[in-house]
Amino acid sequence: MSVKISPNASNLCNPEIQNLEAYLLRTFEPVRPRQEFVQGLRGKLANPTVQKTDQPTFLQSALLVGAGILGSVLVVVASVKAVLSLLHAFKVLRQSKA
Amino acid sequence: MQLKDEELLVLAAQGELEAFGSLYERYVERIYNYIFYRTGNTYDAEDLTERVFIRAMRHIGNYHDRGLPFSAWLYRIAHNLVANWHRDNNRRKEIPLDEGLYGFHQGEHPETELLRLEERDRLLRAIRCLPAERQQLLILKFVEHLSNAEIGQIMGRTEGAVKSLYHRTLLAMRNEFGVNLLESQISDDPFSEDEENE
Repeated sequence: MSVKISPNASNLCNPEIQNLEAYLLRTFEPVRPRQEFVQGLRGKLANPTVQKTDQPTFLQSALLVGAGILGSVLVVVASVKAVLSLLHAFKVLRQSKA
Repeated sequence: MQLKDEELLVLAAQGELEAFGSLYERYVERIYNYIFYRTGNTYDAEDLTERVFIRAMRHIGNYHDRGLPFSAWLYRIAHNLVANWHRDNNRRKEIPLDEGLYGFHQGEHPETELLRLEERDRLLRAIRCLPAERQQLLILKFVEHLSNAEIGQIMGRTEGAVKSLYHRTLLAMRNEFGVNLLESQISDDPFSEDEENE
C-alpha cells in the first residue's frame, strides 16, 4: 500500500471517511466461539496433566532406559550362549571324527 | 465477590488452576474474536486460541505486572502466534459461508445472513491486505471497542501514535478499497430498511 497522505482533522471530517467508519462499525461484529470448544478448553486448562502427556515423566524415562539396558543384556547373553553352543557342537564333531 | 484480574493473577501464578480458569472465562471470547478476524476461519481460530491460553498458563509464573492489563499480555501472545501462523502457512483462506452461521444472528432470515456473511467476507479480504499492525488496530477498535489508550498498551505505542496510525489506516483504506466497500454499503442499505421493517 503506497498511500502517503498526512493525517489531519479535515481529512477525517470527510464524509467518505465517516461512511467508512460506519461501515467498519457495522460489519466488524463480534463472533462467538462454539460452546463445546470453550468448555473443552476450560476442561483442558483445569486438568493440565492432560497437556503434559506429550513429554514423558522422569519415572517413565527411567523405566524406558532400564528396559532398554535389560533388553540389551539379554541379547548379549543369548548371543554368547549361542556361540558357545556352536563351539561345543563343533568340538564334539571333531572328537567323534578322530 | 468477583476478584479483580490482578488478584486472580497472583493466585494463578501460585498454581491456582481455578484462578486461571476465571481469567480464561473473562478473556476467551475476546482473544477468539481477535484471532478469528486475523485468520478468517474458525478452525485456526480455535487452534490458536487454545495455544494462547496454554502458553499463558505455562508462563503465568513469569508474568511481571508492569502496569499493563492482563489482556495486553494475552493479545501480545495472540499477535505473535498469528504472525507465526501467517509466516508458516503463507496462505489466505476463504471463509466458507457455513462457518459463520453458528455464532451469531442464527434467528435471522437466511438471505439476510448470507448478505451479512458476504459483507464480512469482503471486509476481511480488504483488511488482510493491510499490514499486520493495522489489522490489529482495526480489530481492537471495532470488534473489541477499545480506546486508543488501551490499544496503545496492547501494541506498545503511545495514545497519540495509535491515533495517528488509525487515521492513516482509514485514509489508506478509503483510497485502496473505499469505492468497493462503500458501493457494497450503498447496495445493502435498502435491505437494511427491510430488516428494520421486519
